[in-house]
Amino acid sequence: MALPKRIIKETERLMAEPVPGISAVPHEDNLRYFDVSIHGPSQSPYEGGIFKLELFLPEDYPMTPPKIRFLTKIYHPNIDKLGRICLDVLKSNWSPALQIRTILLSIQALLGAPNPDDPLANDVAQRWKEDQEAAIQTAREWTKTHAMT
Amino acid sequence: MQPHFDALFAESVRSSPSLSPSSSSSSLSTHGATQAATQGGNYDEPPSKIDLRALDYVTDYDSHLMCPICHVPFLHPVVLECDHTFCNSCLKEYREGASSGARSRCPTCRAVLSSGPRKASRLIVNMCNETKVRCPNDDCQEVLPRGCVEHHATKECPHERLRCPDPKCDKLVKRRNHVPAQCIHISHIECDCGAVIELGKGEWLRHKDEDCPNTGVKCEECGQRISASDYPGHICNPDDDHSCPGKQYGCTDDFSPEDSEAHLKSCPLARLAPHLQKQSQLLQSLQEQLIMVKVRNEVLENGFEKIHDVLNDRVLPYVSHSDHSPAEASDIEEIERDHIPSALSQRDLLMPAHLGDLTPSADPDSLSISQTQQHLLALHESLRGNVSNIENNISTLTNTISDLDARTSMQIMNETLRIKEDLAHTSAALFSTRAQVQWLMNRERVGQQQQAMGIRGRAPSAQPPVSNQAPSARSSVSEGGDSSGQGQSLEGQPSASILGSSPSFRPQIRRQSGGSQERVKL
Repeated sequence: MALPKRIIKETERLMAEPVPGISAVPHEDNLRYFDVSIHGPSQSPYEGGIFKLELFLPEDYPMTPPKIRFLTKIYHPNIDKLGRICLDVLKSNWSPALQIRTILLSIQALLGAPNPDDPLANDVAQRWKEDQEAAIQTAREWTKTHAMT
Repeated sequence: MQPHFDALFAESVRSSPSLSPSSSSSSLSTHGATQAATQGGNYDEPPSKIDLRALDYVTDYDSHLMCPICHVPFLHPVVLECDHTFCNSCLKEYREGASSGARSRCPTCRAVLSSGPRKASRLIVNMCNETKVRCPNDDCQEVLPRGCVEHHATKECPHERLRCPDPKCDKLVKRRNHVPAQCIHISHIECDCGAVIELGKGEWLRHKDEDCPNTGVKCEECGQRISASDYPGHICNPDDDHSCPGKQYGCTDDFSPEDSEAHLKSCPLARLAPHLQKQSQLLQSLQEQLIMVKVRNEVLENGFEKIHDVLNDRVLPYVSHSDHSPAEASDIEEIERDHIPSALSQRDLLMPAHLGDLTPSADPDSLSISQTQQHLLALHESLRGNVSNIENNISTLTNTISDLDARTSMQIMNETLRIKEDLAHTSAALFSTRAQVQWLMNRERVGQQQQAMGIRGRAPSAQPPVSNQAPSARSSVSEGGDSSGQGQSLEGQPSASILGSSPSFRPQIRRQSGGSQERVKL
């Protein structure tokens, strides 16, 4: 199936004007599949880490949201062991007016502002609520071991 | 090319292609734009024959004119209550796919909408339709406003592929070659360069040879075949080389063929060139020699390695063996003593110190190389002779060992035979003893039975002597069985044959006697 104009345009723009701290490169053999890396936002426990994600644009994109998953292990209340992300705009609040770049910016923002009240990884969220200092310390350690190589 | 076709299909050429492209596009642009503008507001837009979103947009368009959903300039734009604009079809698609809650919201700002969309301003429609696109038909390079491209591509583009008028022919034909109610595929062939050639007149070959830009033509001067499109600019390869002979050694001067003589006189590189060439040839030959020498060296090294292995595997084990077991057969020892020193000296010769210096970097001086080679070869030969000597000795050693082996095994065989015989004797003795014991046991049992009958019938007083005699007989037999002498076992054999026949014989006597105790005892 031919690639819709929109995906081509978005890819071109991502390459021509990349978002600072975010890179998304499509696979050569499948232009709907992107290798994404996001820099951990500064002043967050993920600062200095580079997190790898995979992004796939389904057949009916942009009417359905892209599928995104963290490939790098991360200690975050809204991201589970498998790398799945709990983010409203990736699910019920998706709108075709959103784009790959806006979604990736949202994920970067989620790293900067974890939301333990709407958790996906329950144990992490629990710890985050009970002892935030220790949880942030763990997140920092995980970033060091998994995202700084 | 165009006039040619016009002549070829004179009857079929319509009036519109004769218009120059620029005038047609400009006259149509205004017409198309207004047409599209009037249609834009309609909710049920007419289905487009070409995908306007997949077109090649030649220039960058204003991102404000871009539909946030499909990312191309708005097609039939509509405006929502919140003042956000979308393509009519994009919004429709969004509302069909979305959940009921999202359906009444704006995709961009999520504002809840109470009324339906309305047509966008004519200004926006016109601006979007003015964006320049390329005609989607292959080979057509026309760039025109998007508002007219549909009309152009489906009504007048000479490169548009049309169905062949003949319903039986399923081929396509370009509009410019299209003849109403006539299949040109029967009488004409379409070249991949776009030209249509009539068949049966030799035109095809002529086209391929001369006209077709994709196939070559022959240069009349140099005979080289070049594509017709390159032909006007073709310059035959100059036959004689006017370049400076010092070019490959770094002369970068450019000069015309007329100046070449002057250049040859002035250029130092050109004068040095023959020398340099000779030098490089010499270098090359030396390099080849070096490679050959390297190969030979390798072969020799391999030979040495093999010899070393042979010595290690075959000779050294024998040396150590003889050290550990001096009780070997005397002739073997002698052979070994003769050859151990020579083996050791060969080992020392394997890698002389000067050879180690020579092998890594072969001396470019061919004289010394050949000397070394000869030396190495001589060494190799002598080593090979020594090794064959050693191998001979080893084979004699193995022969002696196998001889010894045979002798030992013969001895063992003899010994085994003797032991086997003894064993047979012993088992025979054991068998006879067992028969004796059985016979005695039987006798005792019969005696007891008779006695019991006698107790019931007549004389109970006869019991004690029987019981006394039986144990004594048994003990004497058991003594004979325990003392395992050969002589006794040999004696036992005849007695066993007598005893073996007796059990069947005695009961008859006993029956005849009719229970008399004295006879039974004997």
